[in-house]
Amino acid sequence: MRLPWPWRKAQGATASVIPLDAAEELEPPPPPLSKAGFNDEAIPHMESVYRFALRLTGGNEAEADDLLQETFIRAYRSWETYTRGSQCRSWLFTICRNEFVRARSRISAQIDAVVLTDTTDAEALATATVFQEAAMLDPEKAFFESMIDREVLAAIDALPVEFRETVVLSDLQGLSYPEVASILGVPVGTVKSRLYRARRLLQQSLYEYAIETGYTRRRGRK
Amino acid sequence: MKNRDEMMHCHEALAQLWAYIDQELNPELNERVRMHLEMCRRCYPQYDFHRAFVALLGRVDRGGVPPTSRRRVFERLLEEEARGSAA
Repeated sequence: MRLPWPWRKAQGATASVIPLDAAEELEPPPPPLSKAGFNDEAIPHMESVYRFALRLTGGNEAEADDLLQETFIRAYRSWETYTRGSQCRSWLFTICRNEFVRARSRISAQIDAVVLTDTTDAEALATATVFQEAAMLDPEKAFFESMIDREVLAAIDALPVEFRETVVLSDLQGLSYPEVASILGVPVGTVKSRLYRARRLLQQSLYEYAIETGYTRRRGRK
Repeated sequence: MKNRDEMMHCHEALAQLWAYIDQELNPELNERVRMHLEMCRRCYPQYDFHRAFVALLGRVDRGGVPPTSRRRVFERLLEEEARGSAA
């Protein structure tokens, strides 16, 4: 039976005296669900999934909200297929990403069209030299201290989706190369290639930001 | 102890730099890169800078789920639950 928000019967008398306006601002407790383990294993990852969804949608909160709902509904429907005690967060990321691709088929086509090869030594070398000037001029790395989170997130949101999802899973969510490869359904070499290119693009973008804000000057100028 | 002839070249170390920072190298390769970075005054600043860059990415996205979004998920789950019970 469906319980009214905020599941007053389940939460007891204390919750029932909270005015509705105040209850809207509170973090709602998990609802009473019949599928064992879902509240304990899946619900705690809602924050990670929301942040992943928000970056997948390029910072669009309304789309991220929809994506979050669809992810948890699909996870609940197929909860029986999940192996209890395994990597629930990665499982939810996979569902979230699949739902994102399904809902935006043009993105899927775009991903399919991108042919990427493994990182070569030359590419890795180029990546390492993008910020060589800044690295040499900034031994204390104060440049990164000057970065505002929203500028970094905006730079991430501006990446092509195949690079964005890779860097978000690896660098923002802290997953290993094999875990990212499993979620995206690509070889580890492709993850490395996309990740290194994404970082290079981000460094270039933030370098331009540093120039605009007067932190540093373009190469070749004194 | 490895001698200098076994020391990795700069281009080899830089090619592995991101994977080294990400702790994704096998132990042997990881050790060779580490030894090179300890000895090379040209490569170490780049390593240090890129490591700081990756650390920056790891701390920029700490926002929580808006209460309204969380509530909508729970409401949808309860609807799904009710639908399953009725079927």
